[in-house]
Amino acid sequence: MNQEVLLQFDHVGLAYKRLLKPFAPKSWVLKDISFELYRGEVLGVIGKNGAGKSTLLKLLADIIAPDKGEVIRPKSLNAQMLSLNLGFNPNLSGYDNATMSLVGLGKSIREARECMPAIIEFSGIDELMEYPVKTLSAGEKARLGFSIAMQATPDILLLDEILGVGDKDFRKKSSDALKERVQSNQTAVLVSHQPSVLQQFCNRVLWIENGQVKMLSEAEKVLCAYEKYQANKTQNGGIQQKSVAV
Amino acid sequence: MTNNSLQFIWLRSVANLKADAQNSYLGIVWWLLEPLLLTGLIYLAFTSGLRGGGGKEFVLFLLCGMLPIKWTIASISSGGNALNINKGIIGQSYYPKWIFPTIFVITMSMRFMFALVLLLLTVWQLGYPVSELWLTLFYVLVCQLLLNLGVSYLFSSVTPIIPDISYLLPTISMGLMFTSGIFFDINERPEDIQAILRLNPYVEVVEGYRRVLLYGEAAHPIQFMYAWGFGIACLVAGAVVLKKLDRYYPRWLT
Repeated sequence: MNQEVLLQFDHVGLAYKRLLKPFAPKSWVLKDISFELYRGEVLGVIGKNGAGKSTLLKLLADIIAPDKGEVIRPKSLNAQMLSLNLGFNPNLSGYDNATMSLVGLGKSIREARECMPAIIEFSGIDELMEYPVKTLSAGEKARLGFSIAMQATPDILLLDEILGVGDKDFRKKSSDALKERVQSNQTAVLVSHQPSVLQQFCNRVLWIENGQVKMLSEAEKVLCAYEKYQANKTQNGGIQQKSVAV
Repeated sequence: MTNNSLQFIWLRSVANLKADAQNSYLGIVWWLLEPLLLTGLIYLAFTSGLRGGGGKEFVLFLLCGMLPIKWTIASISSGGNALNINKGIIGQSYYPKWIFPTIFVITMSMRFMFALVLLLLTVWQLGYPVSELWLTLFYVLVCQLLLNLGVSYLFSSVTPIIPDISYLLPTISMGLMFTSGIFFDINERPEDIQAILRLNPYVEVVEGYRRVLLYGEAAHPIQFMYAWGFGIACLVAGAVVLKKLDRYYPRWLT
C-alpha cells in the first residue's frame, strides 16, 4: 500500500455542552484520538452508538475544530461527507438546485453545468428537472440528491454507512455506485455498524470506545476483536440480568 | 475570498430572488406592488384628512424614509438569522460563515432596486425635477448597504451562540422604524432628544435621501461620517467573530 500520509489526528479531543446554560458541564465525546490516514486506503470506523463516530467525520471534513489536540492536514485537502441534505431550495427547479449544490461542493458554475447530463442520466428524472423541487416525491428528491453528491470529487470521501436511497432499483444502483467508488483509488473513511460491510471494503479499521482509540489495525484483526468483545459484553450482560432476576 | 465563494454567493442571491418570484401567482410583480401599495396607503392615510392633512410634501417625506428603511429591516431580519436559517448545509459541509449573511443582504438589495425606481418615479411625478444631483444618492445607498451588511454580520455572528437575540430582532426592526425619523423631522425635536435619536446611524441615511430628492441638495460622504464609522465597526466586529468561531458554529447549530 502507498504509505503517503494524507491527514493525521494528533491527540484530538472534543467536548460538547448538552445544555444551553452558561455553566453546564462539558461532556467529552472524543478524549484522545490519534491516527493517520494514508492516500488510497479505505479506513473503517466502528464503535457503539454515541462513541463519537459522526463527530469524527465532522472533524475529518473540517466542519468543526477540536477542543484539544490537532488535525494535521494540507490546506488544499478537500474532504467531503456524502450528504443528501444539500440545502435544496424547494421553490427552484432541479437544474437550479443542482447547480447551486455543485458550486457549494467546490465546483465552478461552468463545471457544474458540465455535470448536468451525468446527473440527469443517473437520477433518471429527466422530465422532472425543470419543475420546482417541492413538487418531487421524497424518493425522487433523494435520487436527485444522491446523483448530485456523486459528482463531487473530494480527496477524501467520508461515508456514514454505505446506503442506497430511493426505491428498490435505485437503492441497488446507488449502493453499487458507492461500492465501486470506494473500491477505486478513492481515499475514504467509512463509518458502519456492520462488521461485514467494513470487512468487505476496508484495509484498516479504527475502533473507538469511550472516546479513545481502542484498536487500530488491519480490518480482520480489529473486527475479530470487536465481535469477541461485543459477544462477551452480551454474555456478561445476560449473566448480570439473570442475577438481578434471582 | 475565493472565486468559488463569490460564485456561490452570486448563485444563492439570485436563486433567492428567483424562488421569491416563483412562489406566488403574481411573482415579480409583487416587488413593485408591495412598495406601491404601501405608498398608496400612506398617500391615502395622510392626504385624505385621516391625520388632518399634510399634503404631497408630507407623503414624499414619509416615502423617502419608509421605503429605504424597509430595505434595512428586510436585510437585518434575514441576514441576522442567516446561520440559523442555513444550519442544514452548515452541518454537512464547510463554508466560510460570512457568506450566509452576505447572500441575504445582496438578495434584499436587489429587491430594493425596484422600490428605489418607484420612489424616484413618484418624486418626479409629484413635481420635483430630475437633476444630476440625484447621482449623489449613490453615497447614501452605499452607506446604507454598508450599515445593513455590518449589522447583519454582527447579529448573525451571535444569534447561534445566544439564540435569545433572534427574539430581539423584530423589536429592533420596529425600533429602527420609529427612531429613524420616518414619521417626523428629527431637526424639529428638542436638542437633547435629537442627540439621543442621532445615535441611530440610519437617521443620517434617511436625511440623505430627503436632502437629495426633496431639498435639492447634493449628498456628500462627509455627511455620513457617523454612519460610515458605525457600519465599518459592526462589519469588522461581526467578521472577526464569524471568522474566529467559523468551525464552532456547526456545533451550536445542530
